[in-house]
Amino acid sequence: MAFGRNHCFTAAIPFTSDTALTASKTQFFNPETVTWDVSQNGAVCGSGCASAGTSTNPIYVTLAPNVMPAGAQPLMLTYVSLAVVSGGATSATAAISTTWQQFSTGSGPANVKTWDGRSMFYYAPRVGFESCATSSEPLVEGNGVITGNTVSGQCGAFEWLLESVLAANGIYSNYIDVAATDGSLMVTDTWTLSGTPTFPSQAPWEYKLLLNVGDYMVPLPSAFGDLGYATGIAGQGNAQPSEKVFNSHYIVQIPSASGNQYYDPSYGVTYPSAAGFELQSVQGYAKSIGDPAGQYHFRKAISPPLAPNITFTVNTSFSM
Amino acid sequence: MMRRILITAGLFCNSLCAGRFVSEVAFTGSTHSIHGFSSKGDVTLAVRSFQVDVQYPDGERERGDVFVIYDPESGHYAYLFAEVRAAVPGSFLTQLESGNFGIYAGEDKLVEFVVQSDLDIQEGAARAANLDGACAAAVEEMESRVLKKTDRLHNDVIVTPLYQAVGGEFACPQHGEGDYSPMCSFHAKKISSITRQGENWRLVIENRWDQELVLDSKFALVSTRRIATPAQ
Repeated sequence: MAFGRNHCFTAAIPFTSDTALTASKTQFFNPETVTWDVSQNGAVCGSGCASAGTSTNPIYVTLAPNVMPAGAQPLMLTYVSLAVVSGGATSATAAISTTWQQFSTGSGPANVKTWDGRSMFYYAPRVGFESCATSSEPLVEGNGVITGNTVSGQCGAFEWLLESVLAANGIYSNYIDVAATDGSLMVTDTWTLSGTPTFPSQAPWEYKLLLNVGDYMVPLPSAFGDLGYATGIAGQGNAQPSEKVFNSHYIVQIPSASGNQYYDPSYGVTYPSAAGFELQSVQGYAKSIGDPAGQYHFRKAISPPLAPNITFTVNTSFSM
Repeated sequence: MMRRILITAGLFCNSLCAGRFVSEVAFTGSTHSIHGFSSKGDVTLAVRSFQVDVQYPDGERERGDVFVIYDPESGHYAYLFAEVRAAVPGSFLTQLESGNFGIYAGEDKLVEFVVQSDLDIQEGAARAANLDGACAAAVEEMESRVLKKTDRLHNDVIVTPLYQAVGGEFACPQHGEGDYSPMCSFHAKKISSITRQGENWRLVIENRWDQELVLDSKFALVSTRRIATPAQ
């Protein structure tokens, strides 16, 4: 609408679709087209209105009102996009399944993308901790974390991404802090181990692991002591995440989900328990035992039913 | 924490440090001083660092950094050994200077404490007449250990679990906090006090707050408590 030369304003105009939306069902109208007419005398348009053209926009309809807490706002378009996908979910279970298929093939990462098709990488090659997004907002926006053509995020960024997506559909989830019970470093799959460990008398901490001081694996050390670098488990957008040694990890628990409740959006896999996490993802643990900086003692993970060295802790401050 | 007081390009104990399996590398030595604690208050201890070549009985070779810490008051010494890594030069020196390391010069021994996910403790009860003698004795001991042990040279350490008792937040902000870092592992920024309380040990370690550790005579953790937030 124009009022005089070079004077324009934007108006927010509520309007109602002539087709009612189905209750409790995700839908994606792409596009939703609106035909605009302008009444010249304030009357409802029937005849005598001037055509103002059409506008088209995608409309995302979520399963239920957003439950994202104020501290986690704003609600990003990618969250809604991953919540709704193509629509059709009529239950929380179905909505969770639809969303999870964007993160997981069932056995690994599905290479989740933003609403406009941009890839998000879990520790892209040669990208270390400090170059990766730590929360979901810069991850989906790509702000300040682009290395080359890639946008990389840490596990915490992917954790918040999945939690935010679930919250957009009104689904509650828990933020799970994963750490080695004894405070050692978690060494994720996969490594080869020397047949002649350096410290056999100190079993099970018998292998020597050499890492960088600072960022453990970026740049890639030239040697790892008794361990050999091997292709490991893939992450989002990246068959070989640059980081494989961690002090902590963050995953999502969906209490309403059936089956495995622990969802790991970084790797696109689920776990039944802390023991399951150790079995599926952790090859071993590393800690200093009188070692100089950058050198560690490594031990293999213990397979269930023996007690795992992993603790899952719900962080209520960050749960949605 | 550590002050380099002399850098000497030469052999420190050439005649004594060349053994069959362990030999000093020429022109790698330097002498430093380091702060320590004692029953009489703060003390200054001497540290000599040099490199050695180690030939293991199975034929493998290794070059290592050796740090000999010497208490001129009592004559006690202790030493640290670390494989030389081009990517991490002077790796124990890095650790000694990090504040994560504290040493107590007792009347009966030197005791070194390092705060990791565990508290690593090493003792040195042997004596030498001077720093040169301590250096030579350390190399002799390494020589003997190469022969006797199946492991590569490594420091004998008493390990006291600490992480679970103190809690990870002592050292590391949580994800979501402004100063969060995924590379943060459990450590102390400083060991600000080491004292004896009868048979027990009392340490105050400093990071996001001050934490008291009380250990028994065998270095088992007796108690721990948060005592203050460091002044900004």
